[in-house]
Amino acid sequence: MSPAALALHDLHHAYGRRAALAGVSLELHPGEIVALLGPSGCGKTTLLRIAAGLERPAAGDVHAGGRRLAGPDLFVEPEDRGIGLVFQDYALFPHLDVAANVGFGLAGRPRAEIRATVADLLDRIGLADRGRSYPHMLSGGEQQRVALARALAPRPAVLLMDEPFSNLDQRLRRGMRAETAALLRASGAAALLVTHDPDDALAVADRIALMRDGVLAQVGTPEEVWHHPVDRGAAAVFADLEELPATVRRGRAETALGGFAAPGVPDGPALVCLHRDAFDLAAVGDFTATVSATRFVGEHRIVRLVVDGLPRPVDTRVDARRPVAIGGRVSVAIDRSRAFVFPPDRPPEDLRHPAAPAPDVSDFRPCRGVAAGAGDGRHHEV
Amino acid sequence: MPRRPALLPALDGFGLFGALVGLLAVAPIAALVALAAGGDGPWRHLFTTVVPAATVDTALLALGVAAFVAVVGTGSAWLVATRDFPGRRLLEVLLLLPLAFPAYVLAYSWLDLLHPIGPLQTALRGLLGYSRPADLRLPDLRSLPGAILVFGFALYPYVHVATRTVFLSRAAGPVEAARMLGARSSRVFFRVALPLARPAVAAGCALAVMETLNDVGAAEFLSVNTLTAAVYSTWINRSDLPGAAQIALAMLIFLLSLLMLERIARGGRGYAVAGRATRRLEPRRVGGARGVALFVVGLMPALFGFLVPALHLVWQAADRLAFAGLAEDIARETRDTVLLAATATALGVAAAAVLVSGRRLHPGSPLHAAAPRIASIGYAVPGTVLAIGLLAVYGAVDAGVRALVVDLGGAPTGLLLSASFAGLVIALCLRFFRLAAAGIETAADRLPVTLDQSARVLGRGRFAVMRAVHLPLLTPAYAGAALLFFVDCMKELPATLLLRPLGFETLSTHLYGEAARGTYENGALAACLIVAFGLLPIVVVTRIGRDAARPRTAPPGLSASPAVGRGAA
Repeated sequence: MSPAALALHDLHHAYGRRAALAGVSLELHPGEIVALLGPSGCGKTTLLRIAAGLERPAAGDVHAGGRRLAGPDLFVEPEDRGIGLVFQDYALFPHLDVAANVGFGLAGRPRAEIRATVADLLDRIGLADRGRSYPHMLSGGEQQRVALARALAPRPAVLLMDEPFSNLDQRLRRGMRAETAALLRASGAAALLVTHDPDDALAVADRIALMRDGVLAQVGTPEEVWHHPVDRGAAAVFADLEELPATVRRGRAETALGGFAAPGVPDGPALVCLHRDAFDLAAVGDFTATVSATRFVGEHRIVRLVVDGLPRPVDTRVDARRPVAIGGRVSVAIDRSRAFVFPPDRPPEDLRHPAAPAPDVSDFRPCRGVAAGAGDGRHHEV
Repeated sequence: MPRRPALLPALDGFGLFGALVGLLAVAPIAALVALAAGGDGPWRHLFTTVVPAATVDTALLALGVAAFVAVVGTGSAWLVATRDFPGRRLLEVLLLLPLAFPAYVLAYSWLDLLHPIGPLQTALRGLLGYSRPADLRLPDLRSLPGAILVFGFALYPYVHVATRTVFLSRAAGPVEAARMLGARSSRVFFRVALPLARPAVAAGCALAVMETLNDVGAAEFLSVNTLTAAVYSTWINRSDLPGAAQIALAMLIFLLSLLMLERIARGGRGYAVAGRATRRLEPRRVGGARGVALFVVGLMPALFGFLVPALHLVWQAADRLAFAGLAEDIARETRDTVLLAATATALGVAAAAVLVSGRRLHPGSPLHAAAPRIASIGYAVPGTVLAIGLLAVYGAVDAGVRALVVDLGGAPTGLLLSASFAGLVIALCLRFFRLAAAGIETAADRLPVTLDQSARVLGRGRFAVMRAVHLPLLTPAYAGAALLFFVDCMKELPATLLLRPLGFETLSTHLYGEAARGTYENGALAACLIVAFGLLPIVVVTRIGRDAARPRTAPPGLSASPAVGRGAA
């Protein structure tokens, strides 16, 4: 088996007294895209900088393609690593035009080869005619593409990306995710993408590594981390959760909303976590609820339900064409496969970035009493 | 593959060069201490005769200058920042012009103007009907109060510039709030604006006092026996280097205690950092006779600090040129001065550029961080003190080389560094290193560090990053630093006077010689040239200020980061 494109082994790092990494190990296979997902301050950028050689680990090893790059007795400078890095602010050289930026990492190669490589890359990112432009003349999306092309130009076996989409607006971001993934696949480079946005991770990654407080909480395919979160925090990364106190008896968790399957969970008190889209307004449901507020968000309508037997109201979405009256009684069904049961001794940590919106409920503050149509109709990111 | 043991600091070219420059900067101070401790004989002698009297005079002069520049500098700044009267824009520029006058040139010009048979006294006598100079005795400028006035008019711009920045950039909110609460103008100034500007006033005063202590010409022309003058005469007249070193050390201690005082005066607050350019203070319109009166009052510092002495110098120089033509001396001296200043500037700015880049390219390395700081010591030390220390260092180096060459069977070498062009260049580099480093550092801090990291990751080593990224992007900063450096070298007097080769004259030493001989009219042209060069950076700075006021597209060098912060969910 070929050696890992990038192998990080038991990395430790601290800034002053504050530990940033507390024993992180991660391997990237050749050509694989891994997303490092976690809230800001969890240490993911430190991990990236250590892999790039911009930071020296306090302990642990870094290997790339079988070559040792950092360890207690060794430190290879970033320029000698052959690893690409796309910066969050893109860090395009303002005094060089686009072509010179893309060709920067090719210094020393024959001029004709540089010209051909640059032309090819500019063509692939759709900026073939912008080679003589300067970075400040480009839009944010164009700058992002140039930064990506520049990092790919020397054909690195590993590419690191630091929040590559965070400076783009929502609409542009969707397109850039697909474009970036395609470019990465075509280049064959293994990529480690640092992000706090679960949508970035789900859109481009082969595997997702969930990070919090300097350690990896879970590593797996998007399906694995989505369907089988290791704990409440891991589940909360991808969606808002509704929590129900429960008692587990012989593999079944009993709550105010009925029983849920809890295979392997020990008997005793537990917590049932429901994805918010587990609630469905059905003609014939298990429970009844009162609609306390609604908000039109385009394709969907977000409905706030006060479910009988639940301490807090629940937000769920329904088809926008379906009429819902405030104060009306509705029938609610629960998709019990969208529930996770965790033993209660897990610390109730929220892995999700506090400012990262869950899909489609971004302007709805679930925990406060929001009256429908309160005049704040704009769709603002938080 | 470059391997490096984990615990050794990164001693690359940047580190080695930084250590070298740092050692060079510390050497004169260390030599001073060694020298002062070595010459034990005259210790007591010096402390009973020269030093106590000179210390008192120096302290009085420093206090007087500090008080004068604080009042005139802050007052004039408040005037142009908060009042809009006819001629305000002109006055804004005029009030900066005394920066072009080194204190010794200003003293030189005023002494000539106020000479008993000079133009002012002659005119006054004619007006009052006296015929002989002895009949009308005016207070002599050559006194402590006279020196305070001359230094004050030369140095108030330090406080003016610092406080005006605060008034313009930071005072708008608080001042408007105070006025909304019903405070009148004087209350706004004393209760709101002045406390805001206090750190800036203290910083400006500290600079003015340091310049006063640095001066060797003006104090001597004005017959004030300062410590600097004592150091100078102890060496020049008595050839007593240990004695000079002892006084220099006393002065250094004096200066350090002053800096401590300044720190206390600031009350632990940081310097007024020019924050984000927010709303500007809207000046109050004053028209009519009151406006004219404000203009006249505001004109006074510029009148005494620049206009009158400059016009006098120009007139004298023109007179001299018409009478005797262009002396060959002055052409040669101008050439030599420019050559000296240009050489020192090239080396000094290059060294500063390397050290600043080195610090940036080695984040977290104490050696690289300390190098530019230590190399800046020379700016805090008066030129005379630095020169005495360097005299000792150069003497030791010359003696060492001679001994080594003789040991190896060669002919005894002469003076290599002592009284040499090279020695003088080193002195100027050390003296003004901070000037260059500070300017470059400010510009470098505005470049995102990711540019460096990006170039590193793309395969460039540290030197290559400096060449490919720093050099092109910091060229404007290098040029700006070079201009300031060059002009300060041209104006420099005390170190040049002590370290220059035999027979080597710069414009400033020429002027000093003429003043010492009492032949003022002969130095007018040199004085004019010094002031003309001194005007260069002021012209550039005011032009930049005017350009910055206009909205423009971002220059390619400074639009590095994309729209950071928008939509970052």
